[in-house]
This record gives sequence, structure tokens and C-alpha cells, in this order.
Amino acid sequence: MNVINRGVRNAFRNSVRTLAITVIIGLSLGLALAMLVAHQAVGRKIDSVQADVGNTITISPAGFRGFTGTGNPLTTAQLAFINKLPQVTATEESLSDRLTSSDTNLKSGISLGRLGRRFLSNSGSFSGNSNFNFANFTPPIRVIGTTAPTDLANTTGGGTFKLVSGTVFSSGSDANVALVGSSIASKNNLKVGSTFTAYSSTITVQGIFSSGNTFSNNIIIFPLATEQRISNSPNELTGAIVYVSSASDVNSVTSLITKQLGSAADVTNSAQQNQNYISSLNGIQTVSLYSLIGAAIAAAIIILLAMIMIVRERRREIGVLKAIGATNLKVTTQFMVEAVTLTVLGGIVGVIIGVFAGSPITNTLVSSANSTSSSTIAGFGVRRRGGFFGGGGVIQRHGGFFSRNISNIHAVVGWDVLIYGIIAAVLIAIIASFAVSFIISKIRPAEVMRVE
Amino acid sequence: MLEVEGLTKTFPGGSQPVKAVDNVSLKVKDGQFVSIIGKSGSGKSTLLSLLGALDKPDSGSVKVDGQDISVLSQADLAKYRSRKIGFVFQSYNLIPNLNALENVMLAMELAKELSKPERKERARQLLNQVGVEGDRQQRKPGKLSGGEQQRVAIARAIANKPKLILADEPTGNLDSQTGKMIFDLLHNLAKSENTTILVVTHDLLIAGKTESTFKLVDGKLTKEN
Ligand SMILES: Nc1ncnc2c1ncn2[C@@H]1O[C@H](COP(=O)(O)OP(=O)(O)O)[C@@H](O)[C@H]1O
Ligand SMILES: [Mg+2]
Repeated sequence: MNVINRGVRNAFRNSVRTLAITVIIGLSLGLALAMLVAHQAVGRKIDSVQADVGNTITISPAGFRGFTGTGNPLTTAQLAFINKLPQVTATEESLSDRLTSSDTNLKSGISLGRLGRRFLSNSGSFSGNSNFNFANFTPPIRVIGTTAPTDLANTTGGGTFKLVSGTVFSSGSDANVALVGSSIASKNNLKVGSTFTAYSSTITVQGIFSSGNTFSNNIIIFPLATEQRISNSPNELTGAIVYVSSASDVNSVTSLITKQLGSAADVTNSAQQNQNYISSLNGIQTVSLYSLIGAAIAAAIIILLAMIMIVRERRREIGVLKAIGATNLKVTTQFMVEAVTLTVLGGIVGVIIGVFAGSPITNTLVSSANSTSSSTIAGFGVRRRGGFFGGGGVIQRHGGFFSRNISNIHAVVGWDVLIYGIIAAVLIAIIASFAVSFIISKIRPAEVMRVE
Repeated sequence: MLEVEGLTKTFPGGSQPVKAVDNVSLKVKDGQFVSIIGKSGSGKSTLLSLLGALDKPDSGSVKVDGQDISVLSQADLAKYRSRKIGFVFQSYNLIPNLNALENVMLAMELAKELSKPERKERARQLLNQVGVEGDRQQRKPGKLSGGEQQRVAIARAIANKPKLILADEPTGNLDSQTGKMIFDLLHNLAKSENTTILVVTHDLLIAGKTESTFKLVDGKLTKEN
């Protein structure tokens, strides 16, 4: 028999009480651990969202976006300063245009349709011309000159670049070559090596690509320098994507660029696009953190009250221990062992509860937050339904927001959670024991002389 | 040798302070068996707790073998209680969650003088000596009679071969026959081990058998014989 042995045995002295304390501490520690699991899962999600799309800045001419809008293009000179910023790792520049039937011998891969007609009749050039013959009208073909030909998400507005045949030109190329979307290629019977006319230049098809969506399959991609030269728009740009080395620098670089370009450009960043999403995740994180702290404090208070109750109940026994020569330290140690035993038992129950409740609690927290953010998603969705000419938001990085379904957060219970649980239990018990050690030290051994 | 000089202890009472022990002086030679009698509330228990260092006096001194216990540190006081004093209480005061053997072993564990196997062996011998034998040694106090519990308490009190045994009405909860047996047990121990015993009692028959008797009246000690 030693002090540890006695402490452990005392923990089981009253089986009903042991069970009650174990279950209550187990429940509160279990809740704390489930909240920790939720906190970690949401934290990982925030990190991945920020790492994924959090480091790009989109620059467009003021009033123009993608393939549509009005206003003046930007120039290479205007953006030259950006590459000198230390936080910037890379930039992708592009110039978009539409080839009408007078510019090219190619036919669009998709028909005009109702959307095309509506946007045509709404646009000023055709208004008042009630005799306009839609049947003879050839829809224009969207072209883009870019330094990042395979980055469809940033250039054409979406999809995954897949080379069907041929090769991809280098980003700095100035040759009269093009990558042709699969819809246009099949409509016009183009193969690798075929030629076509654009802006009265002869262009050779270097590759044919598919993107997985009709919009991007109906595009022709030129090297940026080629497009600038053949369209007679030297140094002009209609869009740029800036990559910043760290997500935390995005906002400062954005405001730097905004300040420099002034009213000439619209500067947006992916962090802004994801702000609602991140802030709802942050909300969940805060809730789970407070619940975690609250539940851990509840567990601490429970064991503290239980230990106070036990110490008061064993007042006489403590007096006897002192009377036969036990020091305050020895008595306190014995009760500390008892408290640790009770909370470790509770901790084991808590870990079991935490493992089973972690995932459902994470899902519940996330789905309740999801309903508040879904309206934002819908709002974005409307804007994306841009039609033939209205490629709203096209040059913005595609899909980041929409594909990121908030519910695909995975709650994972790691070993760290188990270890945290047991460490929390032991810490809580030790703190509670220090509190009761004060009561223990106040018990006078002379009290044992009293007869009940 | 136990020397007590001008010992005084006052408790804050309801209307006025109670002088539970009032300027008590006495000397007890080694191996003497001494009884203290007195009415309820006369200060007997308070005097014993001062002698056993369970409480601090307001003034006066207690010397055991020339060592003044009032100057001892907390740690040395615990050591004093453990090695020099053996207590026997009216309500036994065994640890309820430990069996008889473990209760006796606990006293030796706190004295830190014997190894665990030695403690176990000595506890067994002591319990046999006081007449708690066989499976009774494995029983917890709740499953022992009052007399048996007090025997275990005596075994615990003598386990560390103390200089002084302080017994506060050790027979007070027992019937007269059992009480007499317990008293004889204490008496024999005092003889065989040359231990000084101070026993507080109501029982004048018992008091009459001790070598000397003191009487407490309102905290003041007088020698009877
Ligand atoms: N802790 C205490 N607080 C206040 N008064 C006490 C305390 N202990 C004892 N007393 C008082 O001191 C007096 C002596 O008590 P006690 O030594 O227990 O007497 P006895 O053991 O002779 O019956 C009594 O009046 C009692 O009420
Ligand atoms: Mg008394």
C-alpha cells in the first residue's frame, strides 16, 4: 500500500459516485473533444481554401471583364511595375477580342440561339435596325492572346485544358500559331497544320484542345504577342492575373496595385471572393472554440466540486491521517491521485464520446452555417449565368467559390485528440487538487478527538 | 520522560473564551501508566491533543526526552506524531477503506522505517498480539466489532514503538467486559515495552488500577494519587 495505491482505490470507494462523476466528466470532456475535432476540421478547410485560391489578384480594365464590357484596355507598361513587387511570384497577361465574319473565315462552333439574339438586339450597334437578319448573321468568335495558354480557368473562364492533338506554344511565342477549341475545329474541319485567316493574317493551327465546357471549346487561343500584333493592338491588355507568394500579402498587394492603376482598372482578389465563405467558417471556428473552452471549464468545475465534496466528507479521515503522521503534502498527493484517476476515467469516456460525436457535431455546425451562406452562393450563381456576350466574371478564377461545397469538410479524429483529452483530464485534476489542498491544509488534526 | 510546564489553551467560546487547559504542569517517568479523570468538558481531550502535537498551546511547553515540541517545523511535527506518539481514540478512527492489516501498515509506512514486507510481517504479528487473527486481519473496520476495531487501533498505536501512548477514553464506546480487556491489553503493553501511557477515562475502576491518577477540573490539573 502506498499513496498512489490508496488514491486509486479511494477513487472506486463509492461505485455509484464514481460512475456518476465519470459519466459527467466524460460528457463534458467528450463535448470539448468533439468541439476540438470540429475546430481542427474547419481550420484545415480554411487553410486549404486560402492556400488554394487565396494568392491571386485579378486585374481588368475598368468596365471590362473577360470578353465583354466597355472602356479602354490596359497597357503592358501600366502593369510593368507589378513584376517588380517582391511579393509577386508571377503574372499572366491576356488580351481578348471577338473575330467577326469580316475578320476571319472561320464559323462559330455554336449557334446564336435566343441568348445570342437578345444580347445582339440589346447592344447599341443593332438597335433600331428592325430589319436585321439574324439568319445571315455569323456569331463572332472569341479569341484570346495569353501568356498562360493552358490556364483556362484564368483565360477563358473555366474548364481543364486538355490537348486533343498538336502541341502548345510557349508563353512568350510571337509566331502566327493558335490553339483552337474543339467545337470550332470540328465546325471548320481544322486539323493540326491547317491554316485560317484572322485579322487578315494567316494562322497555323498548332494544337486542338478541349476544355470540358462548350464556352471554352469555342475559343481560339493565341500567344499574347501574336494577338497584340495581328489585331494591331500593340502592348494592350484586357486582363492580368497576379500570383502573390503568400496569401497574407494578397490584400496589401491588391491595394498597392489599385492605388497605382487608379480608375484605369478594376482590381479584385480571390480572398475577397472567398470572404463570405471564410467568414462563415471563422464563425464556426469561434463557436467551436468557445464551446471547447466552455466544456473544458465545465469539466474542471465538476471535478473541483466533486473533490470538495469528497474532501469534506472525509474530513475526519484526513485528520486521522495527519494525527498518525501524514504531512499535508502526503494527504494532498493521495487526493490528487484520486482526482486524476476519476478524470482519466472520465477522459476515456470523453474520448469515446468525442470520437463518435466529432463528425456529427462538425456536420451540424457546418450545415447550420451553410444555410446562411447559401444565399451568397446563389447571388454569385446569377451573375455567372452570363450568355453569349455577357461572359460576366469570365476572367476571374473559375469555380473557386462554387465548387467549394461547405459540407465537404472532413472531421478527423487524430491521435492528438486522444492525447489532448487525457492531458486535459490530468491537468484539470491537478488544478482541482491544488484547490482542495487548501481545504486539506486547514483541517486540524485535533478534530479527530471529537466524538460523533 | 514527559515534562509539561504551564500549558494553557483557550478557545473562543460563545460569550467568553473557554480556558480548556489552564496552566497545566506535570511530569511522567518513562514506562509509567497514568490515568486522567474528569467530567465531560473539563479539558481532557484538549490536553491530550496538545501532548500529541495535534494542536498548538497558547503558552507553556511540552518536552519529550528533553525535546520541546513547540519549536518543531511542520515536517518534524508529522515525524513526531508518527514515531514518538501512539494515539488511541474513543471512536477508533481507523481508515474505513483499508483493512485491519493495511491500517496498521499505514502507520509504519508514514514512519518510513521499515520496508514493505517488513511492515506486513510486523503488522501481522501485532494484530495476532492484540487478538485480531486470521481472516479478521483482511476485514475493513466496518466489518469488525467495536472491541476488534479498538484492538486494531492499539496495534496501530504501538506499531512504531512510540515513547508515549495517548488514549482518549479508549473504552468509552465499549461494554464493560470488552473495556476491561482493552484496558488490560494497554496495561500489559506498558509493562512489556516500557512505554509511557496516558489514558483518559471516566471509569474510576480503571483509573484505580493505574500507577498514578490526575484529575482535571475546568482545565486545571490536580494529582489524585
Ligand atoms: N475546537 C474547539 N473550539 C471551541 N471550543 C472547544 C474546542 N475544543 C474544545 N472546546 C471546549 O473546550 C472545553 C474542553 O473540551 P474537551 O477537551 O473536549 O473536554 P473533555 O475531553 O474533557 O470532554 C469544552 O468546554 C469545549 O467546549
Ligand atoms: Mg473528550
